[in-house]
Amino acid sequence: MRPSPVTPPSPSQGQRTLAGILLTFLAVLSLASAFFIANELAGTVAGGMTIALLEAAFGVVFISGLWLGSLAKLAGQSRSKRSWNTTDLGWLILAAVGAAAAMGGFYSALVHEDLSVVSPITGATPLVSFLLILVLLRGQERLTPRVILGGILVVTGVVLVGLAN
Amino acid sequence: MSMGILLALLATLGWGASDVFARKAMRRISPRAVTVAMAGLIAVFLAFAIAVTDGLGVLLQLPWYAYVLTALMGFLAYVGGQYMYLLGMQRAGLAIAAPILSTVPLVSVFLAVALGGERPNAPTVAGAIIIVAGILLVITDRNRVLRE
Repeated sequence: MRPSPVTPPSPSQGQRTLAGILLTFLAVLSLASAFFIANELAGTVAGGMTIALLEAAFGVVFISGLWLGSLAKLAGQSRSKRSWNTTDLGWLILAAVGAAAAMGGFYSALVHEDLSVVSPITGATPLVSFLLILVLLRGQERLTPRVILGGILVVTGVVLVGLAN
Repeated sequence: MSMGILLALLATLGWGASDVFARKAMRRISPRAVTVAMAGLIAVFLAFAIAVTDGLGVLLQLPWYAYVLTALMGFLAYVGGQYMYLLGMQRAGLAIAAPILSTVPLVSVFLAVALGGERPNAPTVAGAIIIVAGILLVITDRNRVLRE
């Protein structure tokens, strides 16, 4: 039996992927720019937690305007119709606690160290997420030799940055 | 190890945990609603922390340009960052978007050097590159994913 020929992606699908790549690069530049501005403010104008709070407060205003529809829909759902429960809210609150500690910690770190030192260390975040997924979300991901090698590289890099500063 | 390094490690742990908890919340709550709700809750928790440590009065003692710049930060981080990443991920897929996002540390270092006048030493630059390489190895390994 002949193998079926590989169907190339349609032009529209390729354009969609390219648009996604460009949007993600824009996200990278935006996030890095926000960190750069924080670096200029931290320690000279305001403390790390103050900067983090103001950023989050303004962020709520901007993002709420964009996604007001989603919030209204969520708030309008009756208890019998909505699919989420208090456990989901609990995870949301825990996520916010972690993020608040992270943002406060990150911007406070900028008071003591340069952005070029702090930012690479926080680049290890996906590794932390992966390790927690292994523990908390069993059955979703697994350790592979490549992951172990990647983890060793990340830890090596973090130690290198830490020792160099 | 300096206080800055310790705080950076705290931030890494916090963000890593936050990503996992948010993923659990997103099983039944839409990503958009989670993002908005989290931003609000983050502001509440930080306000509480500042109220306990320095007092909320510090928020009113900043120069005018600090409010302008933090508003710009809020726009860049939440609209330019999170919103654009969500849109990008929906179009290109997580397998492409996540590795791109992992380059934020390198772009941050570039901005710090090019615009901020920072001059990181060679081990710091090498460490940054090694960290990003390690993360790329992890997140591009599809064999590690058992279930989405």
